[in-house]
Amino acid sequence: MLEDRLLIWKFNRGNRDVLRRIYEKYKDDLVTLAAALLNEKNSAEDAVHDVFVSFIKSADNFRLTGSLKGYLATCVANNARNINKARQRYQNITLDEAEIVSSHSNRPEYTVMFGEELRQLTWSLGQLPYQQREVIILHLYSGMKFKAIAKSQSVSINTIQGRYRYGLGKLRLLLNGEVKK
Amino acid sequence: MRPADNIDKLIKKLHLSASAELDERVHSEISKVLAESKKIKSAKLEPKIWRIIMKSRITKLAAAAVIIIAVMVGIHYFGGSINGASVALGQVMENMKKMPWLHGVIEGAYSGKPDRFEGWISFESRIHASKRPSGEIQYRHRDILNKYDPKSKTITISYMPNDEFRKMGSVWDYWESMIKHFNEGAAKISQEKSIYEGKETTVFKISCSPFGTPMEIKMTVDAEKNLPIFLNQKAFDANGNITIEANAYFDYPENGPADIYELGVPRSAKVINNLPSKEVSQILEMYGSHRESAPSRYIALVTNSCFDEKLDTFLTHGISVIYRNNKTQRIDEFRLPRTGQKEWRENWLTFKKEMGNTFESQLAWWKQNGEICNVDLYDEKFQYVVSRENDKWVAQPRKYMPLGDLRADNDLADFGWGVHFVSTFSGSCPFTIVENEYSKKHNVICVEITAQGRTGTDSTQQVWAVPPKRTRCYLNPERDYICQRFEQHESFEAPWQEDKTWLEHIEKNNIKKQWADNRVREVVEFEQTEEGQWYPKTIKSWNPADTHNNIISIKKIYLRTNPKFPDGIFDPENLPKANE
Repeated sequence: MLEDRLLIWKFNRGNRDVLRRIYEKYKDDLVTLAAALLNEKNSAEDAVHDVFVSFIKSADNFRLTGSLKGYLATCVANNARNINKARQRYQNITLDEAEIVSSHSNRPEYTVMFGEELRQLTWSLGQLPYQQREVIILHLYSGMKFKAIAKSQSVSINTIQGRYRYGLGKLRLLLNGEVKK
Repeated sequence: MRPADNIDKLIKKLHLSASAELDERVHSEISKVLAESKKIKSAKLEPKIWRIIMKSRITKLAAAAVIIIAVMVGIHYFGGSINGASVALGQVMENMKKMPWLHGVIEGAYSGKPDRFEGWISFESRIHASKRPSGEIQYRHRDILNKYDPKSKTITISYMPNDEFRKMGSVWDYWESMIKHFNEGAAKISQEKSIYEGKETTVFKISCSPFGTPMEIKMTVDAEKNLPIFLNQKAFDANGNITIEANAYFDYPENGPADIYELGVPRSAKVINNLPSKEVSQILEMYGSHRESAPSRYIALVTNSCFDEKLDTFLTHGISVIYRNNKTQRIDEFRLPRTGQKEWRENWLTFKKEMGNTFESQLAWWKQNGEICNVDLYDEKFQYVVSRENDKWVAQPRKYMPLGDLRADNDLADFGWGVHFVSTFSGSCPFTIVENEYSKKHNVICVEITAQGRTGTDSTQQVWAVPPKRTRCYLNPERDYICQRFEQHESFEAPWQEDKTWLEHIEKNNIKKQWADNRVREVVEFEQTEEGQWYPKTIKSWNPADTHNNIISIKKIYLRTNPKFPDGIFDPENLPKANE
C-alpha cells in the first residue's frame, strides 16, 4: 500500500521509470482477473497489454488518484467487457460456431487454465451471466468495493449489490452440484 | 466443508502468470516511452551543461581545488560534515567523471595538532572511503555508511541520507554558482609554470572564502593529464591566524577498495546493522520527496505567540514575513511596537481585534504598528543580515553560501518536513516503527529512534555526559507525510539505556551532565494550497517536562502561493542601510 502511494506520487511527477515497477507488480493479478472474466488466457493477455499501452501513452495527460490496483483492475475489467461484447456479437452472427458457443465452457484450456484444483470453480464462474461474474471477481479477487465498481460501471450501488447477491447464490448452487451441469 | 462455503478463499486462489511474450510486449512499449522521455530531458539539460563546459580552464580548476579540499580535507577538519562533503562530492564527480577513482593522502595540522587522512572516491559508483591513523575506517556507498571502530572492533552499518544534496537542487546549480563566484572576482587566481617531481606542472594560487572560511590554496596540476596532483592549503580565522595547514597528494588509480574489509578491517569484526527496514526506507523516501516538492514560491506570514499567564491567553509578540522565490528568500521580522509589555498586555484584546485573522489584515497591522527588527536575505549566493540595534541598522558581513541557506526552520519545507527531523533519522541509531496511542488515534506513522547515553571530553579535558535520547516523529500519510508531531525526550534515567552503569566508571566530580532537552512540537491544524499541497497551518511547541504541561508557543502560518512579489524585494541594494 505504501509502495503504491510512492509509485503514484512518482508517476504523477513525471517519473516514467515507475511504469516497469507498476507492470511487474500487478501483471499477474491483472492477467488472472482478465482470464477469470474472459475464460481464456490469450484474450486476457491482450486485454492487459492494451490497458498498459493505453496507460503508458496517456501517462502525461492524467493524474492518478486513489488506489493504483483498483484503477488498473477497472481498466482491465472495462477492456474485458468490450472483448466479451465483441465476442458475443461475433458468436451471435456466426451460426457455424453455435456449437462452440454452447460448449465453450467445456473447452480444455478453460477447465485447466487455473489448475485442476480450481476446475469446478472456473467452470461454475463460466456459467454465470457476465455481469454477475464481473462483480464477483472484481469484489472478491481484486478487492474492489461495491461503490467503486458501481462508479466504474456508471450504475447504482444497489444494482451492483444485486448482481453480486444473485451471482453468489447461483455460484453456491453450482459449486454444491445443486444445479445440473 | 462444501466448496461453496469457501467461495472467497477459492477465488483468491486463482492465479495465472503473465507470459514471457506479454512481458516483452509491454516492456518494449515502456522502453519506447522512456526513450522519448530521456530525449526530452537531455535536450533540456544540454545547453546548461554546455555553458558550464565552455567556462575557462582556470575557473574549472579553481573550482575543482575548492571541491577537492571540501571533499578530502573538509570531511576531516570541519567537524566531520559528511552531508556537506557529499554535496561537494557530487561536483567532483561531474568534473572528474573520466577518472574511475580519486585517491588522496592529506597530512597537516589543525590548530597545531598534526593529523593524517587517507581517502578514496569513486565518482561513478558513489563510493567514499577513508582511513585514519586512529584505525577508524569508513566506507560509504550511496546512502549506506559502514563505520569501523577499532576500540570495540565493531562495524556499524547505518543509513545516512543527504538532505542538503536534495535541497541544493542539482549538482549543476552548485557548480554554476561556484564558477560565477570565481568569475565575479570573489576569488583571486593566478598561475605559473613549474616542475613537480620531474613533471611539467601548472601551479594555481587561489585566495577564496568557500563556506565562509578564508583560504589560500596552491594547487599543482599535472600539465599532461590536466589533473591536480598536489595542493597546499591554509585556512585562517577571522583574525588572520592559521587554523589549518595541509598538504594533499592525489593520484588516480584504476581500482579502489571494494568494501570496508579491503581497507584493513578484520573479517572477525562484529557487525551491527542499523539499516532501516524496507518499509522505513520507503517512508523516509516519501518524507524526503514531499519535502523536496514543498511550495517554493510564496509569501508566508508567520505569527509567533507565547502563553501569558496573567492574561491566561496567547499573546502574539512578533511576526515573520517570508518571501520565497525558489532558492531566493527574504525574511522580514517584526517585533512588538514600542508600547512596552505592560501596555501591550493591557491593549491586547483591542490589538487582536484590529489584527484580524487574515494574511492581509495581519500584514497591514504589523506594517503600520510593528517595527521591523531584522531582515535576512539570501540571493542564491550570499546571505545578508541587517538588524535594528539601538535605533540604528547594523549590517553583518555578507556570507558566501553556495549550497543554499541551510539554516533550519526558516521556510515552509522546514515547518512541515523539517530537516532536523530528517537528520534525526540518520546516524548510527536504529529506527523502529512503533504503534502507540497517539499514532493509532491520529492514524499516523510513528518512527522512533533511541540513542544510548554517551560521554565525551572537551578541550579542557572536562568529561561531558550526553543523556540517552528518544525521538519520535509522527508522519501523516494523509497530509503529504508532514511531520505532524515531533517528540524529543532525554533523560539520564531513561529506561531504554542498555548499559545502566555507563556513568559509574567516571569520577563524579569530573563529569558535567548535558542539559536534557525535552520538547514536543505538534501541527494542530493543516491547510492546502490551491495546488492541493498540504502545509502546517498552526504549530504548537511545549516542554513536556513542564509540570503544568503549558503550551509555550504557537506559530500560525498565513500563506499566499505564487504571489506577485513587491518590486526589488530580493535586491540586496534595497536592504536597510547600516547606521540609518
